[in-house]
Amino acid sequence: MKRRTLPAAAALAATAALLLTACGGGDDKSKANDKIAGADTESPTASSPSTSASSEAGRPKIALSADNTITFTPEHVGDPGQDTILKDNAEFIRALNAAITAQNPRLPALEYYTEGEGAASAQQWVQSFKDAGLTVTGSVRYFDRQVSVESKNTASLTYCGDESKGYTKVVKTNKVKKTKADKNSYVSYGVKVEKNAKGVWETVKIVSVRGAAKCQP
Amino acid sequence: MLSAPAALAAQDPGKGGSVGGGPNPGSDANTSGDASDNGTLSAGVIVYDRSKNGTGPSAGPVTSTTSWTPPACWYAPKYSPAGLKKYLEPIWNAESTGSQWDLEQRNKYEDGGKTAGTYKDFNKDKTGKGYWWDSYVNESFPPGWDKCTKPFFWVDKGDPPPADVENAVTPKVLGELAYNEIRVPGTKVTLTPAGTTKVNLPTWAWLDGAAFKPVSVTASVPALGISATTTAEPVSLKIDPGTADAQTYPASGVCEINNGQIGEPYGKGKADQTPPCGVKYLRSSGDGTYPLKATITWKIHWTGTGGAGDNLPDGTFGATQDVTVQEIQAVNR
Repeated sequence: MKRRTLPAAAALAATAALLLTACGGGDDKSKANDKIAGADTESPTASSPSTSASSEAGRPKIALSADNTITFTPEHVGDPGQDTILKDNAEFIRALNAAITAQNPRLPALEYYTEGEGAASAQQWVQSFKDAGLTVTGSVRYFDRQVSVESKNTASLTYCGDESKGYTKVVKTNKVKKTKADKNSYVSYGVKVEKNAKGVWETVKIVSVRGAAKCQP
Repeated sequence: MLSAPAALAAQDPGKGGSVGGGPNPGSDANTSGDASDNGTLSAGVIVYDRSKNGTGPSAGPVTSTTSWTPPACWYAPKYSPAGLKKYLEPIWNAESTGSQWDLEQRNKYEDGGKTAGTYKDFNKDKTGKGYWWDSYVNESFPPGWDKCTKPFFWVDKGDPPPADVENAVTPKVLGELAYNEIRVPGTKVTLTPAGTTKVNLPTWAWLDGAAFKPVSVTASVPALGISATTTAEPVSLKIDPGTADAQTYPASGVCEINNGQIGEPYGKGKADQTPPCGVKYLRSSGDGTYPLKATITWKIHWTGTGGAGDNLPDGTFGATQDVTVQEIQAVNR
């Protein structure tokens, strides 16, 4: 698949649009949502000039709503190449959560981290929540994250999601659908990622299996 | 398609799906053979008949004895012309892919037809006469699951898939995929004496012959009218006593199958005989146990549509059981 070549100006426009959508997300949302902004994306990290300083540049800042928590294990593995992939995958997952919270399948941060079939899958997933009038709440743990680097610009990841403390919430009433965990609270993922011209590892394909044996506790 | 219970601890809007998982948008998961009205073959384009598989709580998959493993990803029919249109257009419209890529895609699948490898209207004129093939992955994501990266390609009904596409489904690939689905019975070895044995005592080991019969799985693609049956037959039992302070019978530790029987049940009058299959521990296990590992080797082959067939690498499946070995107390006066 071809990499998209989004000019820098478009990237800025994307983050600006993100700010707008976050504000338009509904009046019952906590103020924490307002942090979904592109304002401080360019903040330099003076402490580590040696590690590709550009890798953080331009990435949208994604803040989750106060009632959502996402953790990643491992967050890093100590290999700079793999760590960038793990980071961008985590941001993709956070963007997906933020898009559901914002009920916006076209959340710019989500588009920033997805492409092609991956973008379509992510959009459809968010749309299915929107159609059902549901959003997400609680905490989700992503674990057993493994990166396999295929080439300079292509890689894949596999990981598990533990949604046993994650729930859906009716947007209109804020009523949380909270019940017992079972095997379908665990999801196995396979994700293909490609590095675009800006050095961002975008999700180009995502396959997942709810209730997969390999992710059960 | 079974729906997940609505009230479930999961971040799922109610269809039992997950992002990028479950049926493709608009697909009909009840369809297992032919393209449904909206043109998407279900994820179950390959149908497995597991009725002759090994069963029981301790049954498990075999592990290849060579570096070969069944395909982790493969290509098979996925879309009708209308189905591919329905799948691709939202992706192009998603606008996340850059106009250049979208244009190339449109030229290839929608506005082409005049040059090789391009198509007009997603090959609408050939509706019912073939399928768009796409990649599928083993959803356990074993190494190599991400290696099928070829774009959609069209295959007319009755034609073989392009020879240069590795792991495009054929009877051979179906046979290899069925290898993955083989389940064989667990290998709890019967030992005499049972449970606790003694130092230097030849301990007889055998397997229940009834449980160790050939098992098979048939994989078919109804849309193409092809199938393959993969059969696994038990050939031998390998005993690893779990400590270096032991001897096995035979010394190789490998007991061959003999008239459908592996090992020989111990019986009265056999006390002076050497067990045809067994183990002799030379040291007590003290307060603990030894982890005796019993592994069955299965010889595996496939036969498919058109009479084709071949051997596949042997597979093994084993289990560990704890054995207590005591000193002979009689001498400790």
